[in-house]
Amino acid sequence: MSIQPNQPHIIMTIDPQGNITSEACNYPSVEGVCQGEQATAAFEESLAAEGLIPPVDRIDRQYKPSAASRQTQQVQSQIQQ
Amino acid sequence: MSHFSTIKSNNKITNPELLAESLQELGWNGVIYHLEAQPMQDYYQVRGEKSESQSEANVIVPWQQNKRRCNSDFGFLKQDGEYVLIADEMDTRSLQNRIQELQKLYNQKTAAAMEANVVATAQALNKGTPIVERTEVDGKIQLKIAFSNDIRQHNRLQQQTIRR
Repeated sequence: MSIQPNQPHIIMTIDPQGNITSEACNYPSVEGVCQGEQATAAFEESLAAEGLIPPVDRIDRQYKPSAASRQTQQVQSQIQQ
Repeated sequence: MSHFSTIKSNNKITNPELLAESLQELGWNGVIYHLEAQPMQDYYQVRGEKSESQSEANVIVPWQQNKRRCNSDFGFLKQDGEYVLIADEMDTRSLQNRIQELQKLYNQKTAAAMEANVVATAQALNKGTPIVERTEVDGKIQLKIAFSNDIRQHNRLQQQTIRR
């Protein structure tokens, strides 16, 4: 079974320098809380517990819309034009 | 909504076991990791002379077992979650030259340990069977992880949306 692009999933990317990024895709928001952040938290805590990354309260976080919502935004802006 | 985290190590050394392994693989003998920092001996103290130096470290490389490569004990002390080099000034310059080599090996070990940790975490989470897809792109390892419980919930929500 393969992961479909529109299904909720997490992408962890590790480079040769030992830098790691995590991205949670297609997770819904529940009561204003992005479930994606909840999904990656367990991984971040485990990595921090092993001393492989700094403590989780020092992680730099950025938010970006999913591909699906970006597509929706593009369609909406085209309609408005 | 996507959530994106950048967790850069910025070439910081944060795992003492991997640090000790890396030092050993680079030929340093007798490397010991101490949970609590222990005192080290400087250039004079290792030779039985008196000195007021009071340095300490968590990962220590003893001069006694590395006499040809350093002039005194040196080590790495945990400061704000990062292990920093502590060395006598007689060794500082030569060790700084070796740090790049150490960092490279440490980074390789860290990357491998990160991958193993991520896969183990995915399997240990109580979220149904994990699906893990591994690819390598431009030298980077990419792990795509999904959980059957999350996919089932997603499919249910999609069906509810279609029925409205």
